Amino acid sequence: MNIISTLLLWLAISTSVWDTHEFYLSVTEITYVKEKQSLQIISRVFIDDFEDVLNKRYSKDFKLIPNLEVEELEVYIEKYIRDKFSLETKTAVLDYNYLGKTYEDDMIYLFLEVENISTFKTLTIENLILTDLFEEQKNMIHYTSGTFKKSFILEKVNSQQTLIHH
Amino acid sequence: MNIMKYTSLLLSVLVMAASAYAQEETAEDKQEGHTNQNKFRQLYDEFATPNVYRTASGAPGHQYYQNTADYEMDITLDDENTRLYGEETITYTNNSPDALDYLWVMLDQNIRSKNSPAKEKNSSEFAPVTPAESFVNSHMAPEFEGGFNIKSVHQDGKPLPHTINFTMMRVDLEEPLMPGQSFEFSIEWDYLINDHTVNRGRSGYEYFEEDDNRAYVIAQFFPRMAVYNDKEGWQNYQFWGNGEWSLPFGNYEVSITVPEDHVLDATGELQNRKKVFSKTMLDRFEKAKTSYKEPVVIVTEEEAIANEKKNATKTKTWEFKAEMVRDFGFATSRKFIWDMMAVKVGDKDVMAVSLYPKEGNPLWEDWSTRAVASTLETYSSFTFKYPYHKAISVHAKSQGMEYPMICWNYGRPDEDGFISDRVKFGMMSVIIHEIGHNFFPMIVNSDERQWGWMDEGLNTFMQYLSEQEFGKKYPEVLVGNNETFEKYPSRRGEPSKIVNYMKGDQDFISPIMTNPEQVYQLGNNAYAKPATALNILRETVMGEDLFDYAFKTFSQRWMFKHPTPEDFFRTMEDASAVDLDWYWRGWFYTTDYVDIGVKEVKNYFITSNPTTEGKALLARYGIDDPSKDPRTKDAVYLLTADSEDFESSMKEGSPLDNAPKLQEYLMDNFTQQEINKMKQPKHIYEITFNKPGGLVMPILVEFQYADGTSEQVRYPVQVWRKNDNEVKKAIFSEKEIVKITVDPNQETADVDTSNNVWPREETTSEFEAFKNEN
Repeated sequence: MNIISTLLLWLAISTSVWDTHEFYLSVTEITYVKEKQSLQIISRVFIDDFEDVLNKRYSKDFKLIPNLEVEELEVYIEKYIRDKFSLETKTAVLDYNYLGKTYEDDMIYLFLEVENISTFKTLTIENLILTDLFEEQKNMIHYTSGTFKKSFILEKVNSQQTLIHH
Repeated sequence: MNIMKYTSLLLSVLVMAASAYAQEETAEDKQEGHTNQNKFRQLYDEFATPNVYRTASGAPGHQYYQNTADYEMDITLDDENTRLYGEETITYTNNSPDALDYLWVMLDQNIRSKNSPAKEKNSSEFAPVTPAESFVNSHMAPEFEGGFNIKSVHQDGKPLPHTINFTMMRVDLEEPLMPGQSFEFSIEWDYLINDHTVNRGRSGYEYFEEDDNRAYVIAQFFPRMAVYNDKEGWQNYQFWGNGEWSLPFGNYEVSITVPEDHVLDATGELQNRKKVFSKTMLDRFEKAKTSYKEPVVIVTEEEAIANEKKNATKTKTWEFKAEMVRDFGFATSRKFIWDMMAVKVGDKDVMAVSLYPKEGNPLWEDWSTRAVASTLETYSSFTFKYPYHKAISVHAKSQGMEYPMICWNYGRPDEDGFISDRVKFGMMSVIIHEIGHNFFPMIVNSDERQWGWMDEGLNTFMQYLSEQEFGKKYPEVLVGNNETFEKYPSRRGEPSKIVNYMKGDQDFISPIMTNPEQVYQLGNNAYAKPATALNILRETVMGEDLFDYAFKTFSQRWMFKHPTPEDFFRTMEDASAVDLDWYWRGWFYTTDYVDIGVKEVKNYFITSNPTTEGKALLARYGIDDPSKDPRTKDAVYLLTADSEDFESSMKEGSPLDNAPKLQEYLMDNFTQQEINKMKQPKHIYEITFNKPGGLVMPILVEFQYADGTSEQVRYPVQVWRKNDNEVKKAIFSEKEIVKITVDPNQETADVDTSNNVWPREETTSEFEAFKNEN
């Protein structure tokens, strides 16, 4: 993290005040369901930030409001996620489906799934969501596979991490 | 002895005997001793010993004291150069029993000075690649020249020795300031005002390129006395950015000089209204004093737009007086629209006020002042009557910050005037929250530097109640862009909303009782979790009556005083006769979470024929032939369907038919009339509740019966006091139970509900549920 982002982070957090939200954080749950051979992903991101990044990046004027969205929006959400979020095992980059989204309070929930994936030993997760808008964006990952659990934070300068099952 | 007691006694004999048996088997392993780790142990180790300053009941003690700081200030805004100048005279009064060798003054602007260590408080590293613009900004652009320029510190012109340590300044005294004495001294200062939209400070200005104007929201703008008290001595924790302030009460006389075309409001009563108001404004103001339903516009949007085009070179001085406030803030701009509405608080009129640039409309003219008024009403009913004469909500981009009588709030429609639900409810919620801060901490003056949750948590809890009330008062608010909400969509307060945080990774969670500088997620830690904990305490643990009385007692005891967390914890128990040490310990001192489930349900049958198990147990007490022994000839035996002595006929008929000796016992000992009054339960269950979560909570259970009816039962939290892992309940029921649900109304923030239901239902994960629906 460079100095300006340190400064930005400090200032962002220092508005402990009651801001829209106090700091930039997304939370992504990745769960491997062995019996379904499915890697299930729910990513929770602040709606206002997500709206901002789509509109800035693609020069759009999307409104992320339930049932007031334009059809085109889904295309750009998917495009953005594919740009910023990736999964890779030792042997292959994993292809995932974007299943859709829901809204909950001020968060948008994004649902992704990798199908037909048999057991793997290592998994590399990269999450750069919103780091193109905010240097200080932090993306927390909670990974679960049976009893194996791991949590960590990804950010712009440290955007991926590799898990090794034991 | 009635039939129920008799059976449960026998059950407990069986259980005790079984556990005694188990202990005998393992007695050879030597066990380690331990200290009292019971979750119900009192908080003697965590709490300070009560004393003459703070009592065990949570009230101020008979020698409680607090020092005061009075200010006389002349402030001048240089709008063109965005610089603020001030001269202040502080009268500090020592009401403590201690002689003070020096005074400490807080210089909060120094967090923005060039060499501020706060800029380096986080770890930093390089990215392998950085955009050119960001690189220039980070490594090449000149730094903001912030921080106080202290021109002089003096007493009647005689310089006072002083030492600046980051955001604190020590003023050395020639003679110690003795108890009961006052010390008067002056400081002359100035500083460069920051653009708060760029670096998101708690005060500063927003620049509007379109009309080349600024809207200022100014606070932490003058050297302020630190608190000296019985808990900390002098406050010595620097301002690092997160922990806000600890400030003494005092009286203020402030005159503020700004360009003459500015509209300004501030903490305190305006002293020269006739001088700074036009005749039209005065007339409108008079009208506002008796307008209780509609805000009256003092400066209209058209007038504000006309003001925007001016650029006065002359100035105007606004004079304010405030009594018993802990701070001072003001907002000033050419751009401000101004409206006011009276609100009755008790038998007193208070003025609800809003200041906003045209960019806040359409939204601010409709809702800001109404939200202010409604908040004052709700908070007053739960705490004490709002004691000040006004409360102002100022619109500032991305802000949410509170000062006595005045606060800054975000919430701006799109450029095309569209107001999303997010913007609308965000704006209303932030106004309710920041206006609410007048009560906590502006009047119930807790130490924010140490305990961010004490004002934020209490205030967010009250905010939740006020939002719900606001939704009831103005149902039209609930009509959203796309749906009509059943109630105000509060973002925080309801138990279900804290689950994701509480079940999160423990590496990124802190107990509520943690300094704001050390927490990972301030929003959840200082706002959402304590607010939810108080809501659960009110709704589920204590009940509204007991909670509300105790909460009001706390508020009134500490109105215009400085409470600590212990004073709150102690008062809540003292005024309710509900021991809550277990609750404070679990919810406030740990990161434990709630997870209670149904582990097992056993269905029992009764018989008069001695069972193998029953005989074996009685044999250990020397009873070899129980049906003949006078002590046990009437005994009732309980067995499950998988017992070797079970006969399928036991499933049929009533328990009395199956245990004829019980029937005989009844007839021998009771009249038929008495027997008719007794319950005739047909179904016997033993339910095991387990508790994978660390928090102890009352067990809330719903029983659903075969006939379609249901019943909710509550086992007190004390049920966990001797076993923290699982407890059993013996249930004698007249109806067959077909389903058992723990926490059926989702009142406890149970983080895993997959174990809450018996018989176990196949639970669908959030992911699967979404996939199935779409």
